[in-house]
Formats: sequence, structure tokens, C-alpha cells
Amino acid sequence: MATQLPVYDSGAIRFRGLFEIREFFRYRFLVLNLVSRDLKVRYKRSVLGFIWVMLSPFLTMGVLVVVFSSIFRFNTPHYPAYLLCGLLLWAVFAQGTVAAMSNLVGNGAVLRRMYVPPSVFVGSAVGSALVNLLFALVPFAILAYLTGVEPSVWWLFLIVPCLMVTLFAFGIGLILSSMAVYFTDTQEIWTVLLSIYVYLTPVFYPVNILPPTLQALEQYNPMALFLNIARAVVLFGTRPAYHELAWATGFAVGTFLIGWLIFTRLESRFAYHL
Amino acid sequence: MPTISDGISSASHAEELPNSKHSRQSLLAFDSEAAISVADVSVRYRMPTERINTLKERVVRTITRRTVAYTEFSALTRVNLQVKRGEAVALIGRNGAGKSTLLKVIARVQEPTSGRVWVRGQIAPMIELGAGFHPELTGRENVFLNGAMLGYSQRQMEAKFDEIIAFSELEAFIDSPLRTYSSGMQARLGFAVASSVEPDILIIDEVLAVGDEAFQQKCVQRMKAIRERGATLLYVTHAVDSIKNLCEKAALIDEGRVLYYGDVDKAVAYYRERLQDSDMQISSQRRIAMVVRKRR
Repeated sequence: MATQLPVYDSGAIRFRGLFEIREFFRYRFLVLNLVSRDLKVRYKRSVLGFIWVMLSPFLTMGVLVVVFSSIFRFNTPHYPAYLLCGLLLWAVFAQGTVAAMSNLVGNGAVLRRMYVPPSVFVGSAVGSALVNLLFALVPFAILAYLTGVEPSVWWLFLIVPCLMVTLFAFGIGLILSSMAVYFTDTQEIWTVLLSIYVYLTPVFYPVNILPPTLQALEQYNPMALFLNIARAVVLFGTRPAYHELAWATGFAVGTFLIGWLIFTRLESRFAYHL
Repeated sequence: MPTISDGISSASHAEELPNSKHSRQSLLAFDSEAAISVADVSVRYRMPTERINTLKERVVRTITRRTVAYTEFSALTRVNLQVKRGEAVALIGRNGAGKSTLLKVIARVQEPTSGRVWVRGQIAPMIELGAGFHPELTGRENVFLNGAMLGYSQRQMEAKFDEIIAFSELEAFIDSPLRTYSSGMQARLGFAVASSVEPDILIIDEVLAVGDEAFQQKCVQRMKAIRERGATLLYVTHAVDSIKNLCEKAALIDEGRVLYYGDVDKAVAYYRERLQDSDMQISSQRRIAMVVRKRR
């Protein structure tokens, strides 16, 4: 019986990146709990409760459709759906990365008092952003249909760019949150960088209004790639280009791996700095 | 990135402690009878004399090539401690002696700067009860959240739920948000969760100071029950009289070193002696080095 007990040996952790993956998996119930906590806390005090999860994005998106399609006159087909699609995926990235930092730093009190693999807090932040997106997809589909987009089986493929953005946000979130432990102004700096990045990416506008040099660069912009894939399947019901899928997968997986390595390299010192 | 050991000569730790006899063998391997083994563990903090915690400032300093001065502070110095399975050990010492740091190293909250720690079995850390409780969630939701933070699955918590509620005596409030609880009620819930899940090792840091007398009695009863199942207990307190009926051994810690480890009565006697000459200021030995880092 004695030999079955798990042994923690502080000297036996060789490959921290692999070790943390195992620990993250062991604490998967905590990730689920934290994601559902985020959802519950957000909607607990509202009268409409859980309906609000879908009603709120529906109303926000409805306003955007009305406002933007009367102000901007881009000659792009299905502009309302084009815009919403961009905003939804962008929200996962923006919310996920910002929440990753505040979640890790905000749970400093927990990390100083008990052992929890710190990546759990980043994972749950990004997970919450993904869950919010999934709920918003339903009102998005309704609005897309109402504004004249033909439904297609390719809509189901939308989950792929959604997961890519989430993985990308996870990677960036890991890097940012481990910096935020050391430098308190990381969060402010990131907010500024995010607002620059959103205008460098065709979220609001079609790519073809950019000068040709910038347009060529967009194929190396991960967020632009994810958006392209999502828009191809939703707006036109077509298969996304293979080279775009390949690049997008590479960016998502690569960013995640780099983020994971940086984070796990720094995490043993977190308890001292939080 | 410079490591913590930059600029610290190993010679500064070279002196042998009077009671380091038991220390050598723990360095070899993790004894199969041991629940906790702490081998030659040091924890050092680096405290910048001017704190730089913004990225902007760091960048400015890198560009202007200004130096950053740090003071090294040694919270634990070459600590050795072995606790056998089923033993109850108290850690005693003055404020700032390093007791809590040692508990944190054992509970995996911090990693030692040097040295090695082995722990066998599931730890229930009661370092601060209810860390991670969320005020907007109900008592019920917090039980599951807290259980998950301790590493338990949904199913394990479901199995234990009724017992947790019964022990905490909070049946009537369990579906109210935690913000409506008094601090005593929160502590009761925290203790109930942390102690219900049949830990192999119970780590307790002064938590019994919460709750009323009746509940404190209940906590002591439960700790004894956990002990009787064969669990190991590690207990930190300033109330040295209370440890004698819970613990058979004690470690006296002062200035980051284990001065004595053994019989609880002797440890308490040494501790009292130690308190007598309280003129002893925090020794300069612990502040081991001033490191001035040049950025090239």
C-alpha cells in the first residue's frame, strides 16, 4: 500500500514542460470548475440569468450590424457577417490574453498558499473566452442568416478556426502572464498593443483596401489567417485554401509550444514574485 | 538571466550545525518509511534595494546600463528534516524564523533554491483556509471549486459532500453566496473541505485560531481521527502548550536553521530559553550578501 502513494520529489523534475502538461491534465477538473465559475459569476446577479449568455452578444451584434452597415460602405459582400465573424474571433484573442494575465496575477493568493499548477489559471482564462464564443455562435448564425448569408455544411468547419484562435491566444497568454508576474505594467502595455494590432488586422475592413505591400504582409499575420479561414467557410461556404490552413495551424501550434516552454521555465519562481 | 546564487560564495554556508548528525543520511535517498524528507534545503530571496517591477523601468535601465542592487535574504539555510509516516511533528520558533517557508517548501508551494524535498502521499495543506474561495459563489459551489484546487475530482467531492456539510454545520446556508458568510463560517467550510479528503499528510499552520471553542474542539478531534488512520501531521504554532497533546516530536527553528529536532518537551524547553535572550536581533548572517549586478 505504501508504495502506491504518489511521491513528490523536487529534484526529479527534468523536463518541466512535459511535467506541467501532466499536472495540467491531473487538475483538469479545476480548469472546468474555473471556467464554469467565470460564467456563473458573470451571469449570477443578472435577472435573465443564463439566457443573457446568448442574448447579450445577440443585442451587441445587432447594434453593430445596424451601425456599421450604415456608416461604412465597403464593397465587400455580406459585410455585416464579415464584421461579426471578425469581431467574434478577435474577442477570443483579446479576452483570452487579457484574462490570462489577470487570472494568473489575481490568483497569486492561491499560488502563495497551496500547490496548483499555474498553467491552470491561464488555461481557464482562455477556456472561458472559448466558451463565450461558442455561446455567441448561435446568435451569430441567426444574424448571418438574417443578413442574407446562405447556410452551408461548411459552417460546421468554423470550429477549426475557433480552436486555432484559442490555441494561439493560449500561447500568447502564457507568455504575457508569465511577464505580468514580474512586471506590473505588462497588462497596460498589452492593452495598447492590442488596440494597434486590431487595426493592423482586417477585422473591421476588407483586406483589399490596404496598400499592396501591407496586403502581402497579412498572409503572415496569424489573426488575419484565422479570420480568412472563418470567413471563407461562413460567408461563402467554400473550403479554405490549404496553404492558409497549413500556415494557420503552424502559427497556432508553434505559438502555443513557445508560450508553454517560456511559462514552464519561469513558473518555479512565480510564488516568490506574486 | 542571473540566478539567485550569483555572487554568493558557498563558503558562507560551510559551518556545521551542532545537530546536523541526522542530516547526512537524509541526503542519500528517500527512505521508504519516511513521509517527508527535506535534504539540505535552502531558500533565498533576492530583495532589490530599489524595486523594479515595471517593464518600462527595466527597459530604461537596460538601455542606460544602470546597475541594480539586491540584498540576498536567506529564509532557510541548509535545513534537514525527516518525518516518518504516521509521526506528528510540530515546528516551533519565533516570528520570521522560517517555519512557514519550510511548510511551503514541503507543500510544493515554493521550490527550494537548493536542496531537495521528497513527500510521499496526498497533502492537505491548511496554510490558509479557504484560499481560492469566491465570494459570489454559493457554499456548495465553493466546496467543489476548493476541492478541485486541492486536486480532487468532481466524483470524489460528490462522495464527500454530505460529510463536509455535516461537519461544517452549514446545512442551512450552503446555497447562499459565500459573501454572506462570517469569517468563522468560511474557516469552518475551509477546514471541512481540506480535512475531509483523507490526506496522507496534514499540514497545519495556525489555522485552529479560528472558530469558536466548540468548533476548535471538533477540529482537534478530527485531526486526531486523521492521525489514527496513520496520517502524518506537520503543525506550526506559537501556542507551544497546545502541541504537547498532538505531537510527539518537534523541530525548533530559528533564523532559518533547525536548531533542535527531537522530543517535543525538550524542544519546547529550548524554545523558551531562546525566547529569554530575546535581545538577539535578527542576525546579520541571514542577510548573506549584497549583490550588485552590472548590466553590460
